[in-house]
Amino acid sequence: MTPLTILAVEDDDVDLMSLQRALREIRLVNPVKRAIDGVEAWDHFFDDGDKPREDCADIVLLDLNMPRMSGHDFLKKFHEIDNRPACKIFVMTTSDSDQDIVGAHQYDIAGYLLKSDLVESLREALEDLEQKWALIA
Amino acid sequence: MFSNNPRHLWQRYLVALVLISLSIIVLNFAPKANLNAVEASAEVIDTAGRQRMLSQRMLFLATRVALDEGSSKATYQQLRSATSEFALAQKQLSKARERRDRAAHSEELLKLDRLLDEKVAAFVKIVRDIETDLKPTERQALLNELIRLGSEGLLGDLDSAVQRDEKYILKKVRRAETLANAAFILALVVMGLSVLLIFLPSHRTILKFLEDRNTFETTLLEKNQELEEFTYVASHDLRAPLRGMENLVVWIDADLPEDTTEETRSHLVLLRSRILRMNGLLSDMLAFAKIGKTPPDVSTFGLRPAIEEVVTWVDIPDGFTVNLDPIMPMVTASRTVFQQIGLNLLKNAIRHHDKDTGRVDFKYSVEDDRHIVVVSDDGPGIPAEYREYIFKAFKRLEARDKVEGSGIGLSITRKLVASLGGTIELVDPPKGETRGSTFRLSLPIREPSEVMEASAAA
Repeated sequence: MTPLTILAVEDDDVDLMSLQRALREIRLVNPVKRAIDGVEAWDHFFDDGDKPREDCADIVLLDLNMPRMSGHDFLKKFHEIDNRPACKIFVMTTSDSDQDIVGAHQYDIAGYLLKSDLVESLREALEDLEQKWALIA
Repeated sequence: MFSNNPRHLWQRYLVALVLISLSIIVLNFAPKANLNAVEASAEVIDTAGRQRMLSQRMLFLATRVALDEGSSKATYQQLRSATSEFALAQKQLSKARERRDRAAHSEELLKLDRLLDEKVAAFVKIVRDIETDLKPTERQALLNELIRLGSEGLLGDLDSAVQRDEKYILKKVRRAETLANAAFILALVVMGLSVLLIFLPSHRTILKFLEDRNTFETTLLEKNQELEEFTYVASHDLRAPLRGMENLVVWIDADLPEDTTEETRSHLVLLRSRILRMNGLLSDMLAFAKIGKTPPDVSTFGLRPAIEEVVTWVDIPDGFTVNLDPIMPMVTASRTVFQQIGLNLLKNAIRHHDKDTGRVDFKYSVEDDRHIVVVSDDGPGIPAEYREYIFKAFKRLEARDKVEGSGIGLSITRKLVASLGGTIELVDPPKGETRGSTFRLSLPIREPSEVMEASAAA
């Protein structure tokens, strides 16, 4: 069974380092790919703009505040594609208002990760995931 | 002539009111003055008419007496009474006419009227003379004289007098009419002038004022919007690199070699504290900007439980006690805002305390229809001259390194209190206390029903 891949969509290098350290701390050694903004993330999932690819990540850690295409813009476009790849998207937030705004749009996201407390957030999020997948598998 | 300040519009309106009132008065009284004269004259004409009738009757009776030797006493009586009435009428008319002629300063008319008086007197005398027992020839002579006077001069003069009376009346009526017209035109002119000089400019002033207000409001809203965006971006985007900096410092610190000097380690500690300070400042700025933007969640809640909850949020050091008045009422306001205020005050009291032990008291009372909450401590206190100063944004009383804090706390607190419709101030400590800070919070008492209506309307 191939290990799940993680796509980190984050423009800030130091924030990315934080994320990597947090993953290490919860002993997650799955391969992590990186996209620096929404555009790169889009290319990861689609060829020629709208053809879904086969080998894309299963878990997406999505930052909101990025240049070119922000997390919001990405989520909006992503949900407009009906045959989009199945993946679990976690949104990385810095404040409560971020959560409110994203929640208000009712995108199909798996959860929120607080940048101020990544380790705990990640731990909780992945425990949730394990449970859900255990049920399905 | 008039100022263009909307506050002074009343001056214009007062002038307009005075002018219009004057017009109405003139319009009312000027014609009336003349019409009174007309009324008097009408009486005169009435009397003159009667007199005319009487004179004919007298002549007729006199003729009967002259022609009929054996005239009855009755006829004489009738003649006599007619004559008396006639004389009386003339007296009345004479008086009225004289008055009128003197008022008109007309010598000519006075002369004419006096002449008429004399003629009438002569006529009356003759009639009275007929009654006495006279020889037929004398009587006949008198009668002839009477008839001559009567049919030629007297009747004509009586008619002329009446004509003069009528002319007088007509003149008066015409004058009344003219005055009425003039007054009417004057009123129109005054109205026109009022509109032109007073109401139109007033209207323009008001419109201009409203327009300026509108422009001002729009500008203000725009500026506010800009400021909000700026504040949000500033605090949000500024915190991202700060977060990176803090992480890097933590990692560097973790990876420092064993033989790193104390000095270098202390530098890193200072670096970290400065980063935290900046983060705190940005946090506070963001909080300050947000106050009043979100609609408050008004509810009716117990004051005591709300404060008790706040106490649990704060890390109370050992040796410190927090006391609450046992009896506190239900309050209708925003619970979260109130708790935020309580939290700020409590944290401040603890942070600024100079001893290892201390207390913070929350007391409640009602004054002048308002909730009064007094938060006092036994810390070092704040000198009286700084009582307003401390509420200003970013103003601090202690060096930055002695006590952490952006200085924005109390200004936020005051803004929060204002959003509840209340006031907060630093007051003298209660009697018997020599030290400590005493904050007095005054909140309006709202009925829960007010809130229901407000939220139903929203």
